Amino acid sequence: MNMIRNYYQDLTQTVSKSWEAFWFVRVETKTVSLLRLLVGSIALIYALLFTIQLTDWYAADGILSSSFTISMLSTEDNNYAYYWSLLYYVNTPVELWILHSIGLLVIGAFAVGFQTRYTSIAAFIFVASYAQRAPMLAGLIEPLLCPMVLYLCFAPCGNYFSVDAWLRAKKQKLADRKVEDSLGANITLRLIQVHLCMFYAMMALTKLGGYTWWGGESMWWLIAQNHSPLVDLRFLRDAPLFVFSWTHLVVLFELCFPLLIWVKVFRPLLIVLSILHWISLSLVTGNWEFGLLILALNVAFFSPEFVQSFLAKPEKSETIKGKDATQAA
Amino acid sequence: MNQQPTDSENIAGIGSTARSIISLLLAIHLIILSVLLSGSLVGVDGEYRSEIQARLFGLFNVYGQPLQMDVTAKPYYLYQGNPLDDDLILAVDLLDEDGEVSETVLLGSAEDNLSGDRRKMRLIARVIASAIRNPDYEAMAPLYAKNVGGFVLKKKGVKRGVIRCLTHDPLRINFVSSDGTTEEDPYADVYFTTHYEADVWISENGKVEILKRASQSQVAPTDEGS
Repeated sequence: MNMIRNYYQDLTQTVSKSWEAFWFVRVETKTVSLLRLLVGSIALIYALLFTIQLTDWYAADGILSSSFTISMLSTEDNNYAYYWSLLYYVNTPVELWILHSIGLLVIGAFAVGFQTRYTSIAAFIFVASYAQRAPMLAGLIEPLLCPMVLYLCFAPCGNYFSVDAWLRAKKQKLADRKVEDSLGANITLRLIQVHLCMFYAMMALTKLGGYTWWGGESMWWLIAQNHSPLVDLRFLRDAPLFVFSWTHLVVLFELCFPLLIWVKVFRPLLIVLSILHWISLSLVTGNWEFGLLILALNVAFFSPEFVQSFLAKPEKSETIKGKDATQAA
Repeated sequence: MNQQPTDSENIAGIGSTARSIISLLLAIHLIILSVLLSGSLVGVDGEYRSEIQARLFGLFNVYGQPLQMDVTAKPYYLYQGNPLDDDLILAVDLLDEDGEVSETVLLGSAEDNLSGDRRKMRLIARVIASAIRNPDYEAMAPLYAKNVGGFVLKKKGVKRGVIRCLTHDPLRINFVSSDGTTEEDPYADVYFTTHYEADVWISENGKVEILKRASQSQVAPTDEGS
């Protein structure tokens, strides 16, 4: 009996300590700031794509007017009853263009890190509004982009690589420019990491539900589509073994990523492989925005030091601590 | 590239009550996320979802859908051999006053310069083709087709046309024809499957009207004896 009680105590203590070490740690905000820059830029591209024939699609007499969209959603089952969008309330071309312009400005401000605390929340509202304006047209990117922008609302992601940081640097003296580590940044990074891994697992498992992925032909069927690929790779018909291998490697990579990305030694390898994986899949499927986003999210696994080594000059480091701060003062 | 704490003493940065509340919220969020993602897995014969998963899925969508976390019906499998996995396009035959086809516009195709965003048109075509295959949603197909058909007629300044929803089947990797050669023309008629076909026109009061053309199975047999 004692053995069981000891095991239970040991189990709960270990889980509790691991949970706290995973979630409740303060980290530097460089990584999350870089993520804001990348995710914000992709959100801006996503919103800009709505500019193409905006009124032909979404005005009152457009292909998918608000009233038509809402009536279509209400005829589907009850699972589809929770959509919302600011764009449901604008119908004339002028109103549409005004709201769309505000949306672009807000998302752009978030991407460059201007008033980030406020624009991050506003950017999420606009990105979700675009995504839910016509849910029947939503593709692969929306279910990943919206949560990522939402997670970034919880972190001080405007501390670096931002207009906010530049303005702050102009106002303050060098010695005062200490940027504190943040618990919100850690929670945001962990949420993005876990969400990304769950997404990879879902993508791999759903592929295994189809015989074409087991049979090795899926990549050929994607390559051979007549309208969606960005490049014509149909010459690979003469190399079927290569196509079959590619198919199996796609599934293998997506199965391995959510497990091995947590192992430090495999991380650089997986990130390099993910670049090859998503560039090739984007070219074949035409889903380039989704490929771009999922590649950008790899940054969530970068340490602040790694980000710093790439993006900042060491002698102009903004976080000045201890002796260096005294000397600078 | 390891995500390490910058200072291990920072673990105790907030009180235990706040940590407990945040932990609870995180746990709820992750449980909902895992149900929403695992409940959306699909195979060639439909969704793989148990009864309990389906019930939880419906409940958790109250949280997941407004935040756009729901991945239902999104083809993350990319290709599974389903009839609608291939590229779908919308063809609109523009008719002149004699009822002859003057031009055919292929919306969503690689040559489409009218709709702006070709992928949106392919998604609309997928919605129409999906609706046609499901008796519960079949009535939605002409509503989408009417809007798209009206858009093309107005853009082209034409009064009458025929809209068709087509699958453009890709070439098989190992296809060999009966004469031993491989079929190389992906635009041959044999590679197009029609899911839906309807006449569309602009009436005298300026409204767009649509009338579905009967499929082969719906045409009454002719009386050959008369």
